[in-house]
Amino acid sequence: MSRRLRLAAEWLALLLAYAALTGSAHPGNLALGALVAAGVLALRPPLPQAPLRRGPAAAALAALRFAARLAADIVRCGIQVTALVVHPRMPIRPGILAVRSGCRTPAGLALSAHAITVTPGELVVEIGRDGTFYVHCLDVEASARAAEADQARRCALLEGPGGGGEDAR
Amino acid sequence: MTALLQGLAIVAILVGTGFSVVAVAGYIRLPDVYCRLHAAGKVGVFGVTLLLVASVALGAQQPGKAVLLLLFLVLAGPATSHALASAAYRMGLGPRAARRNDLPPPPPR
Repeated sequence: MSRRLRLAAEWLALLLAYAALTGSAHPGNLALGALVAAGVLALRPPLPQAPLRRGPAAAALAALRFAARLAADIVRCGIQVTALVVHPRMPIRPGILAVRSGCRTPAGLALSAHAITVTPGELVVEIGRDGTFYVHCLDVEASARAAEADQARRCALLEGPGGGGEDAR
Repeated sequence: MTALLQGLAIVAILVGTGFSVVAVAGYIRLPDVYCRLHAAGKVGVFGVTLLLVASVALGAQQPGKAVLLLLFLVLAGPATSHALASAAYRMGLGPRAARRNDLPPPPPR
């Protein structure tokens, strides 16, 4: 996608977000939204462009699967942490676990960290220079058994076949 | 239809408020900053999500706006939890009663 086309798509997305947030399709409001969107694009620092590693259809399908898993994790997470908090003895075994990210791109690293943090009982505290996640777990023994395999699955979904290989530096 | 939406809104308000109260209880009961962020950042977001659903069902909020707010909440909530946890680590606040701690000492300030 050319730079101009990408900017136009981003501008349109910002304008639509503005229209949805203000809830008005009045021409004056849309004109103001167009100006605000252009201002945001002008002031925003340049974002790194990661090459698309698969076709648009496969990428959209993977994004949908990732979003569905994320939504399910958010619901499970809310319920599980609630059950722990209201339990009279609060059966937690906290600890911090080092988990190799295996991501090859900064976007994969960031989205993996986000997905781990919405996973029930897990929270990314720090990301090491070698791409290692330091994850705080409410049940460190249970998380230690599944963390590496879960991260490899997450990375493969985000970065396509071969994801989960050499770390992003 | 209106009665159904009002019923949905009442359930969402009750459950959402319940989750928000649990988030505050977790903030008080859990032992350290890292554990507390699980309650505040996750259960709290879940509670607010249900309150947003209630506001849409009652017609106080447009669905498009609610979806966008939900999206921002889901994107920003975990990022905020991570930022607070990272700040606590860099300030030298270690986890209490940790069964295991793979985290290296924080970098000098």
